[in-house]
Formats: sequence, structure tokens, C-alpha cells
Amino acid sequence: MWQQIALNKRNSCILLTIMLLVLLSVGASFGILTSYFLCIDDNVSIVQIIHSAQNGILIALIVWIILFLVAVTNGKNAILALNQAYKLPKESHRILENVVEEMSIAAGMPKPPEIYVIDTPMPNAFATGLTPKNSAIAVTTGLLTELNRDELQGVIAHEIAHIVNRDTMYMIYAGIMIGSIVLLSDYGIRYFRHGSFKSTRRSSMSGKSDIILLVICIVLMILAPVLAQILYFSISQKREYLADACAVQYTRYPQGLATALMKIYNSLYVFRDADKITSAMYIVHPLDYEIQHKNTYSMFGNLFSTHPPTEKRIEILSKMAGADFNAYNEAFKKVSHSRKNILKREFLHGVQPLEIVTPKHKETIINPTNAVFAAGMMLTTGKQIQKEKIIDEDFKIRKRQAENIIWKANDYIFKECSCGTKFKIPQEYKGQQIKCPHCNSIINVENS
Amino acid sequence: MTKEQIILYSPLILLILIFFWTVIVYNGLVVLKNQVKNAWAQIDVQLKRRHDLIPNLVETVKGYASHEAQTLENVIKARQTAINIDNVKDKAVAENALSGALKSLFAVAENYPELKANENFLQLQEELTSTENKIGYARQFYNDAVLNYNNKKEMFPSNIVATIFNFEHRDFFEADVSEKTAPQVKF
Repeated sequence: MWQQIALNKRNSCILLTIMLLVLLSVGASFGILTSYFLCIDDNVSIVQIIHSAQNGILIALIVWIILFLVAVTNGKNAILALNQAYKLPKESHRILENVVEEMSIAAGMPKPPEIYVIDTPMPNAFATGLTPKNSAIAVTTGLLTELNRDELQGVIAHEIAHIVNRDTMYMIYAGIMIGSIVLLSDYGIRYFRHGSFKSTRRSSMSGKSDIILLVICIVLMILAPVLAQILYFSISQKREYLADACAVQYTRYPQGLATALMKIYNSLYVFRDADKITSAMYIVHPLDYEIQHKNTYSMFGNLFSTHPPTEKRIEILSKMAGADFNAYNEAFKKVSHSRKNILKREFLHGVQPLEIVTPKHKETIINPTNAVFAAGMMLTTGKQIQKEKIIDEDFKIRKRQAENIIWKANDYIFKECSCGTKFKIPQEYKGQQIKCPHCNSIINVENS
Repeated sequence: MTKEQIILYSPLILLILIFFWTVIVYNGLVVLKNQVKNAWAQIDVQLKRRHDLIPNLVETVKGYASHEAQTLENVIKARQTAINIDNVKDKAVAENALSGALKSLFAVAENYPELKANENFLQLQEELTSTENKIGYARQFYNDAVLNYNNKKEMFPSNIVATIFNFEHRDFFEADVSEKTAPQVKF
């Protein structure tokens, strides 16, 4: 485990260094471009070019440092706020709190992450935070409604794995890099458009080499954001597979995560409110929904997809013969019909075989492999079958529990009438009396 | 540098190198040892939590199923023995016995629909199941840490440093045999 964390950190460092180089070259071209259109003097010497490039790099570094400071001090909260996440009020959902604690113990985290809840019927979850000590997990109310305890455990384990593997850290740092690159190239290109009008009188440009230099700068500006994103996506798919493998290692129960992914994948709701910037952090990409369901995987789509196809993830999980990394790797090979390892050889070396442990309080679980086909059927036949399948007694109880979190987070007062009716009362009614609509008795709303 | 000087200084340099190597290995061992310690502390916290939850559970069950006195008595006894033990090996045995007693208590509770519907009981059941899970996961982690530590302690050349500074051997926290042989899942 320690090994894989170290390796992940190293890989992230290499990628971030490359991104930094991209950022610096964008900064340099920014400097050169602006100096071209600001200076009236036609003859630009080499010294001046170098000087303006240096200035550009300095600007790039300043932008980066500012964004970096903002992210380090406030990144986690900003991401949570962007997704409209409430902090889970204490004791409002014991199962969720327990599951998070269990998984953080299994992963050997120094302390469990903070828990946040997003009020949307679309089941999904994400994790964020620079260090395991200062991290957070956000789940949607839909997730709490649709998944049973074992499935929830699988999802939470996957998110904890992202934190422990430092994927969330990489995500934030890479986000800053991409952010500053986009910012600079945006301004640079704008300068160019604006400046080119003014400089028409300089049409007799000072020489061929200058034009070549300018063209290089502009091309760099245009390509840099795309390049940074490709760099970023180059590892995020692998990290998803690794997080799945880790989740199974923690829970020793691949079916839990498999059925959870299936339920999320088949969910009828589309998470339209999901924030575009942070959407890549969710366990299943919320805005990818339509692409995934239409099964239109073009070359381009794959290159820019942060998540591997969900069906494939489900199939791998359901074909696992054990709960260790080797079992995951073997299942991956079987599913993708290739001999390529998905996990690094360092992870597979000397792994002790782990057996799958079925939870003692086992609930009826559909066989995931069949369920994938069943899910496909459901999609073609429409909403009704799906609705019938999921609305059972447990579903109603879970839905109520999940809704109560949001009531509590909004400071509603919980009261029970003597006839058994349960009320959620807004703060404004403090110190007043309300009448129960069922038994007409008067209920006092205390000031406490 | 003359030949004589080299002969004079080389033992000194060798000594300094050995000293630095010892420091590095020693610190590595201490890190691993602390990991084991922390992992054990986590198990201990969860075991204590379970001990604290049991009296509540017994009280709740008593109200509904008073003639299951034998089962209740077993749980109380198992808890009492588990609390009084300090070393790792015996503790594992005692705690496994307690797990067994609790399991039979929950099995008995199945026969009392009113008890099963009691909110307090349901809450306690969730807490105890979760605590049980946490003990399991903490044990996984503890055993991994112990394996790491013992390996480093016994392997050459770090074992020299370990013997000089008297690093103790740590025991695994063994799971119950019946827990280990989980049913194989077939697709």
C-alpha cells in the first residue's frame, strides 16, 4: 500500500513538472506577444525578446502562485461550495458516518474525512482534499436512497482510495496548472487579436525570423490548454481502475461496488446541476451520462474521457475471483481480452491473495453480470420497469433518512405529535404553537 | 594524501558510514514500530467502544426477551473476561468469544418481532455491526503493519540494529477460524 502511494506521488510530480514547463513556455510567449504589440519600435533586438520572455514567465509564475495559495487555503471548500454540498449534521445519518469511519480505518487514514451531502436525486459521490488529514467526501441524497449498506460501502471505499492514493491532491494541483495556462493563453490570444489591428501600420515587419517567432508563440498559446488537458487525462482513467481495485481490497467484496456502479449508471436522473469543472471528480462522470448511454465512443471521446466506460468497470468487478490486486488485474485482462496489465507491476509483485468476504448481513443482491444485460433491457423498455424494481420498503426508509439530512442541515426542528405524525418545522416558528392536521392537537415549538 | 594518511583515516570514515547507516535503519524501525502501535490503538478504541455498547444492548433486549437469560448471561460474561485481558494473543481469543456470544444474541432477537422493530435496538444493532466491521478492518491494517515491521526486524542486515536496540517481536491479531473461511462466491 505504501509503495503504491509513493509511486503515485512520483508520477504526479513528473506530470505536474511537465505541466509547469508548458505553463512557463506559455508565459514566455505571452511576454513576447504583448511586447510586440506594445512597443512602437520596429527593430526588436534579441535582448529585448529575451527580456520580454522573462517578464512573461514572471507573470505566469505570479498567476500560478496566486491560484496555488487560493487552492491550498480554500480549495476544498471552494469545490464543495461549487457543488452546493451541505456538511452532514452530526448523528443525522449513522449508517453513512459508520461506513466512512470503517473505510478510513481499512485504508489506515489518520482520521476519517469530513462528510458532505448534495441534495439531488441522481446517485453519485466524489472526494476532495490535499492531504488525507484534511479531506472530504461528498455524496448525493440519491446515492443514500438507492444504495444499500454494502453498495454504499463500495462507493465510499472507492472515494477513500482516491484520497489515500493522492488522486485528489493531483486533481487540485493539476487544476491550478490548467487554470493558469488557460487564463494566460486566453489573454495572449485576445491581445493578439486586438493588437493586430493596431499594428497594421507595421505591416512591413522587421524580418522573417520575427514572423516565425510570432507564429510559434501563437500556436503554442492555442495548443497549450489542449496539451495540458491531454496530460491530465492521460492518467485519470488508470487512477479510476486503481481506485476500484483498492476499494475491493478494503471491503473484500467486489459485488458491492459492482451493483452500486450499476445502480448509478442506470439511474434515471441526470445530474444537470453538476459543475462542469469538478465533474471529473465524481465516481461516475455525471455529465457523461448521455454519451455513455448511447454507447457512442468515438476516438475523440475516449481521449478526453476522465473515466473508463462504466460497463467495463462493472464487468471487471463481477469477474473477480479474489479481493486482491492480482485478482483485479486478471479480471481486467479477461474483460478486455488483452495481456496488458492495468495495474503497475510494482503493485502486483508479492501481493498476498485475499479472499472475497460476503457480508454477514447479506441482502438480496442481483448477479451483476446478468444485471448488466437486464440494465440494457431496461434502458430500451423505458422507465416503468426500473421504477418498479427500486421502490421497496427499504427504499422508502432510506429516502426518508436521506431527506432528513437536508432538513437538519437547513436547521429545521424535528417534532413528533402524540398521534405519531412527524413534523419538520422551520426556525421562524420557534416559540410558537402549531396544530397537528391529523389529530388537531396543539404542539409547542420550544425555543431551544 | 600519503599512503599512511589513508591507512590512518579509513577506519574513521568506515566508522562514520556505519554510524549513519545505523541511524537510518534505526529510524526506519521506529517508524514501523509506531505504525504498529497506532494500528493497535485503533483496534483498542473499537474494542472499548464495543464493551461500552454491550450493557445498553443487554438492557434493551432484557425488556423484550427476559427468558433468554442464558444468552444474555453469556454475553455479559464474555465481555467481563475480554475487558480484563491485556496481552494481544489472549485478547484475540477473548474478543472472538465475545463476537460469538453477540452473534447468538442477535440470532435470538430474530424471534422477537417487537424487539426487532424497536428503534433503540435497531440503532444499537447498526452501531455494533459497524463496530464489529471496524474491528475487522483495523485488524487487517494492524496485521499488515505487523508483517512489515517483523519482516524488517528479522531480515539481514537490519536485524543487527534491531537486536542491538532490542526491538520486540509483535504478534498478529488472529481472526477466528470460522471467520476466515468465508463462503466462496460463484458467478
